Amino acid sequence: MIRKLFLCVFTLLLTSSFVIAQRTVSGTVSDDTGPLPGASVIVKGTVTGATSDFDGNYSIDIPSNDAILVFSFLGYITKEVTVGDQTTINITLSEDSQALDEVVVTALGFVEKRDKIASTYSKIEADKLVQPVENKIIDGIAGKAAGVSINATSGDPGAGSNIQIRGTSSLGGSSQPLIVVDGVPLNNDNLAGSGDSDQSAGVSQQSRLNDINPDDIESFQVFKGASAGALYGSRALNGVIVITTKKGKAGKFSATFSSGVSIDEISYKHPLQTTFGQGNNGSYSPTAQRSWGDRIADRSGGADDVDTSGQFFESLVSDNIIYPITQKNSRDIFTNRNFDQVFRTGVTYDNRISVSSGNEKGTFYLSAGHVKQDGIIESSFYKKTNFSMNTTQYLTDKLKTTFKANYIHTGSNRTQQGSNTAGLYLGLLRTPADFDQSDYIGNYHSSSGAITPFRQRAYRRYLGNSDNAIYNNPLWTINQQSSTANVNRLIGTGEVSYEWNDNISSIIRGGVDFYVDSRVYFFPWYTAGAARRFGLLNDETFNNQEFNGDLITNFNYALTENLNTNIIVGFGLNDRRRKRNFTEADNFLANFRSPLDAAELAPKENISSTTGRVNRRNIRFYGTANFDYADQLILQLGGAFEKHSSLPRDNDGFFYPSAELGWTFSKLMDANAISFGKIRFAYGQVANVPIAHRAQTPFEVGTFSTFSDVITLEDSGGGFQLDEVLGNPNLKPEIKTEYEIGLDLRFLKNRLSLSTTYYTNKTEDVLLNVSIPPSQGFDQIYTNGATIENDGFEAELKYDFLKKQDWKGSIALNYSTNKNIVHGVLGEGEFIDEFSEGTSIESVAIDGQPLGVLYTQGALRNADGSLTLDANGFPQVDTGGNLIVGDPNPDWRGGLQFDLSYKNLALSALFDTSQGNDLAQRTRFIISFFGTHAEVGNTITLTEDLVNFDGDVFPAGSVVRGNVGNFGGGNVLLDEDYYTSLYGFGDGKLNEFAVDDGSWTRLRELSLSYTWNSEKFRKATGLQSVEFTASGRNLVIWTDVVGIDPDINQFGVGRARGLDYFSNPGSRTYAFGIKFNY
Amino acid sequence: MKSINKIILSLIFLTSAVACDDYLDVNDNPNQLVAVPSGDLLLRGTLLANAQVQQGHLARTSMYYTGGLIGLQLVQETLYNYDYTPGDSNAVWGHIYNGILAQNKEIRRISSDIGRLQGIIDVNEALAVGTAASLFGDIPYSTAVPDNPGLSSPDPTLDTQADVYAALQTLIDNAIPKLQDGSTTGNTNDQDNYFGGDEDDWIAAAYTLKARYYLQTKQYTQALANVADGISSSSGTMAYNPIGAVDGNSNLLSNFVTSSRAGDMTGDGAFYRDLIDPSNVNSRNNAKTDETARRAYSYINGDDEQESGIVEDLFNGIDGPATRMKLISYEENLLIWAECLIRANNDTQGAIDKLNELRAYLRSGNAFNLMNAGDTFQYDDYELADFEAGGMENTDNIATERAVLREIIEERYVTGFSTYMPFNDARRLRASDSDLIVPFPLNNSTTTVNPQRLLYAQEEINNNSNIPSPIPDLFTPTPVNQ
Repeated sequence: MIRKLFLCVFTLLLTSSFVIAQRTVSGTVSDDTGPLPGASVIVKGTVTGATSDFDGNYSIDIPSNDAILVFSFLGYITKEVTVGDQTTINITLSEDSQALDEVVVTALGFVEKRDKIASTYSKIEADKLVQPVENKIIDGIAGKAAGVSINATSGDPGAGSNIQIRGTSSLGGSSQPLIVVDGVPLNNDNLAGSGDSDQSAGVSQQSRLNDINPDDIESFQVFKGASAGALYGSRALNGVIVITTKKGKAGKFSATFSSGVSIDEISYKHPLQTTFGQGNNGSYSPTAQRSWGDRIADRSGGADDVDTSGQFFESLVSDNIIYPITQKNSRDIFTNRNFDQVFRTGVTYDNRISVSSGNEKGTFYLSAGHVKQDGIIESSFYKKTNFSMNTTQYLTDKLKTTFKANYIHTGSNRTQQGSNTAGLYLGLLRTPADFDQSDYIGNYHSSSGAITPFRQRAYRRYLGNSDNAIYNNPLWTINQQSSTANVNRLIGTGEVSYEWNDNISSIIRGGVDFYVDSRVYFFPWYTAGAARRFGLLNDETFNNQEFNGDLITNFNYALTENLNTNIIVGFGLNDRRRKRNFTEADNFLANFRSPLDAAELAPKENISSTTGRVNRRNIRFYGTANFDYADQLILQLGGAFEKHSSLPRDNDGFFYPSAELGWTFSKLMDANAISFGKIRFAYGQVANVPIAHRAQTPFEVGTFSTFSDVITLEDSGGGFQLDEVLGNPNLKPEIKTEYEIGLDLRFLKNRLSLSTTYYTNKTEDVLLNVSIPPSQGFDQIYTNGATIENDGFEAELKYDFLKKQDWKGSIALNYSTNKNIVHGVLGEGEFIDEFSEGTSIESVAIDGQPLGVLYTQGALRNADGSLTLDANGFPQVDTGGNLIVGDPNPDWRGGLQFDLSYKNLALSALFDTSQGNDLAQRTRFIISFFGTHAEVGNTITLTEDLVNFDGDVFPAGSVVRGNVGNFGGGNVLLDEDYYTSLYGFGDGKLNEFAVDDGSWTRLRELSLSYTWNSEKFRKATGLQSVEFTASGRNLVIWTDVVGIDPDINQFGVGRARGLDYFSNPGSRTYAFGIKFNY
Repeated sequence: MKSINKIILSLIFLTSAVACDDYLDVNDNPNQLVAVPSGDLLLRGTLLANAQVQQGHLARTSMYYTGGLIGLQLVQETLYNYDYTPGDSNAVWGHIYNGILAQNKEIRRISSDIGRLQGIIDVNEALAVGTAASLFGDIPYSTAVPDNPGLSSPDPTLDTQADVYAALQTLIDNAIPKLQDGSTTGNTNDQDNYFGGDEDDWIAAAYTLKARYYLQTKQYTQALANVADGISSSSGTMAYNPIGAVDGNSNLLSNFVTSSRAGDMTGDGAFYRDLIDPSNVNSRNNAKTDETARRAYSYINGDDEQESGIVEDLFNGIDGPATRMKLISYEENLLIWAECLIRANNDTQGAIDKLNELRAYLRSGNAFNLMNAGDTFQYDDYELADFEAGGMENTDNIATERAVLREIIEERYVTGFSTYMPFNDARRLRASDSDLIVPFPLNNSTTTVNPQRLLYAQEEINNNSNIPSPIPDLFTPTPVNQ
């Protein structure tokens, strides 16, 4: 201790003596293209250093003429210069093609050079991942990596997104990739829960990956292939995303503060007709389901004639009294106003701050963020607060500890949507043009004088004269219901690493990820839907815990001069537990209007609760061995042996091998022709284990329904029923085997790079519920059965077309195709699985077809594929069973990233496209049946005699509501008969006609930023820089789909694709941000 | 160097060895039972499943096909227009095989010594399977619900419709001594939604059920032999008893009409409404009969607006939330009796007497709830003269015996409203007694025959190679009605 102190004082004295002798050297650092800002200049052997400014200029104090200056910059060969008597040293650094650019963080958290990796991955630069004021990380990946497709599920604030890497590889369990943050798995749940009656309805759920503060991310990589994920065995079936977070850097204290505001607006609206009123067959009816009524313009005008002698509705939102209509006179149209009462301009405020510092003993990084978003739908909001810290301590030269903690709180109110009578769009888009929805709540007075307070008034119950509103008034949906979710989450990681010697080091790493998600869905009395009519409260809490521990040892040896080896041996434990508590109260005792304790709201017989627990554990032994020969040949062998709790005890261990081979052939070639060239091969196996607790057939407290008439054991006194899905004690994991071959090329001194990969993979023993004849007493058995194959090609091309002093420009393209096919147990074209429970157009797995094909009632066709027409020239429904009518998987996807900067001004644009994917536009289809869609609001004058669906002939010259169609048998009249007979879903409808091409191309992101960091500015403010950004998202979409963003998915994050049914609309975003760097 | 390696490696393996064994033992189901302590806990489920088989979607569909109800929109409209698809049968089919047969197998395995429980599930099974046979024709039964079901089990084969009926007669015969055995449990009585564990009621219902099936197979003598032991009073009527008025425990019609399906279906304008409407020219009302009150009781508005004119139908009509739904009734027993007296014994007067027994019951006012205080009803005794040529029930001068039979069938049509009885009769009488069929009309102009069966369930078609291909269509009579 004393010796140390002495040393310190001595050094101090010595330094002060140098101060006296020192002088200044200055100059410019540049490369072939011009000045190099940000290059580091250090006096060798000291801590004295400087950084070149924007013009490449530097200035540094040197202690003596003996000093050696070290000039370095990432990606360039470091140069040392002895100062001598020079006062100006201008230096040109040359690019280092070997050490060039990226490092890669492997799934285990080790850093490797990109060129030493033989598997495919895509790295997304942290600054490209999210634009300022963008708080959803997942959406930031969209369009930026080949083979990775991201689908937003709705424009609701906080709504989750679906990540799919190289197609779908399994039928059950999670379809989402494993997320690994700093070597520890991170939960990315997107749970529907019991509060959503089924996935087709309810609200958009959040993706837990979006909890992370985007500012904390240092690097973001997507490992697509099985070889890279093999070490994670049974969790890596859907790929692995590796995230590293920011750590403090030794040196100067730095801080950033950013603030932004963004504006959301509804991106597309379904066009609606405003010509015809509520009713059927051309006659007005104020309680009709459809809008096939009279022509509004033909009415006499003025106030409606009403009957004031009996019942009436007394509005609580205005002074209006609504009486039964005896004669409809009013020509008022409310379509736009009804819309505007529900939608607004969404506003998001986002503020983030981070500070970091450190010295050779340790570093720290602290950050905080707050997002407050008001969604485009009135009353919807999302807010998020983050705190994180990341500290590193070097306790001795050999012992390092890292501790990281992250606390997140999110709160939100979502809007009910989908196939849901209490959903927003279902009611709104069915509402006739001549119905004013404003007075949505009030007191109903019956003719006998009885008063019912707080009744809902909706278009089929315009007098509020029933407990059953049938479909919600949209204002009721947004004002009277609530669907809140509050999440508290704590993520912690601790790591101790120790270097035994120069060759061997060990790491003990432990991580926890806890979150509690508390959701409350509240529906007061008179909400539409039988279960909600007299109130419904769903109070649901998810308690999720994940523990992860690893012990890893790393051996590094140079076996010969040219052969280096790196061997990693590890052992890991993982424990995941979830407990779900669900309490439901319905049939409230009285018309209570807020979500209280269930026992306050309803008598005991109307309260029920369920608890669901899931526990999964695994143990893994894993290892990799890397051999690097002469910087040219890389061989990596890997494997994991894993035992998993959800497998049968006597057969619970599985081995997952992987091998990668890379050859940098450019070493043998002329460096001028090609800067870099590598060919790589990879092979690997990953898996997915059975769902926990499925070994036995359980007894459930059953429900019995045949069609909207459910009775339950729970409500009828209790009892049990042996489940209709059989358990299975002989389950195996489903195993995906993948082969890939790739080529990485760089030309023109690395300015042009191309990376291509072809892969083929096959998942065998896919777990699913296989249907068996119901007469066996059970509908299904959970078992290993199907096989899924994916073949694809991915290419990423980047060209830095401008690399001058002031101008920089680059363009990056990515392209991918994936061909998916599923094989059933029988291999006879059989139906395998349905992903969209309860929809009239199903997204299904069928033997021999791509996963998710759209399956429904189709049209009867002739051998040549033309429609078989009836006597009147109209298509007919094929009653022989469902047909495949579409494929929601795109033929190819692509992205184009364009960057251009001039000095401190930077422009960036991202286009992406999805081509050849089909979309079941079920909303458009059914509101045509309802008579509200614009396509059924046309009035035409016939130029020829036409026959309608019923066979009635309309002579030339007739003025009719409808369209002229031709199904191959000549012109026919498409009028109410047609749209209400063949449209609308259910038996006998021609659902196929709802399915159409859903291809799209979009300008996904456009941003313009300016960084203010002139010396004058820095001196004046003491800041390093200030960045201003303006950006837009989803600005333009080119698509044939009308009325919605074609990316919307009714089934959220799941395997059902290509379905829309009253899903909440997507949004277009404009954002403005400012960021201060100190 | 070597020693360090050894230390590290032994550390790794030590940790792993310690951690392995118990650590992974977390796969037992933490949420649900995988074994029930006693079979009686499964009883209620099997009875509720049968309530859906008897009074759910398919019963409503059968009403569309016999002039009882009208499907107005969406699925109900297409069903009404005879666009019946195999998918429409899925739910009922599943309730029969999983909801009843698979559960019964468990009950027999777990609680084989409880006689009353065993007898109850046998009768319940006979009710469900017989209904299935009557609707679908040949069905899997003797090979259905095998041991160790799964992918490797052979697909169950179809038994002929006649074989199924025969097997059910045997099943019921064997159930009766089990019911008489008397051994029971508290749970059995509590779980018995139909009769609260009353074995006499179960035995009587079993006899009526036997009679029903003999009637369906036109074995009228055997049917007659069983009615005497059948249900002998209204309190013996077997019914699904809603225990509350919330969705999960109420009347199925109530659930349906108060759901988002409100307005999809209605009784308004149906043939049945006219038939019992005193002011309608086609009315069955006469000097001795006034159906006003029963008409009000059996009115299914299908929509639930309060100002529809009949407010009360929401509460205690046939679709009231707490209204019990009859499965095997006292009325049915009397009507089988009446019909078979003529069919087997040519005893016309005996038949009229049985009809009058029923009318006495209707007259008592206990057969249905009175919806409005002013609703009238009248069911005076008929006499032979009423059925003789020119009598009030024989204005078209047919044979007296046929006139009585015609009245019995018409009464079955009205009494059986909301059950399969009208559909079963129309199909049973089609080949040999078409003159007796209640003349309800077809629902559209393009259809020329009435449905003769319902289609096999899509899920069975998909997975059972023994289902004939193509399947018999909606208009092909089942074997016993050919």
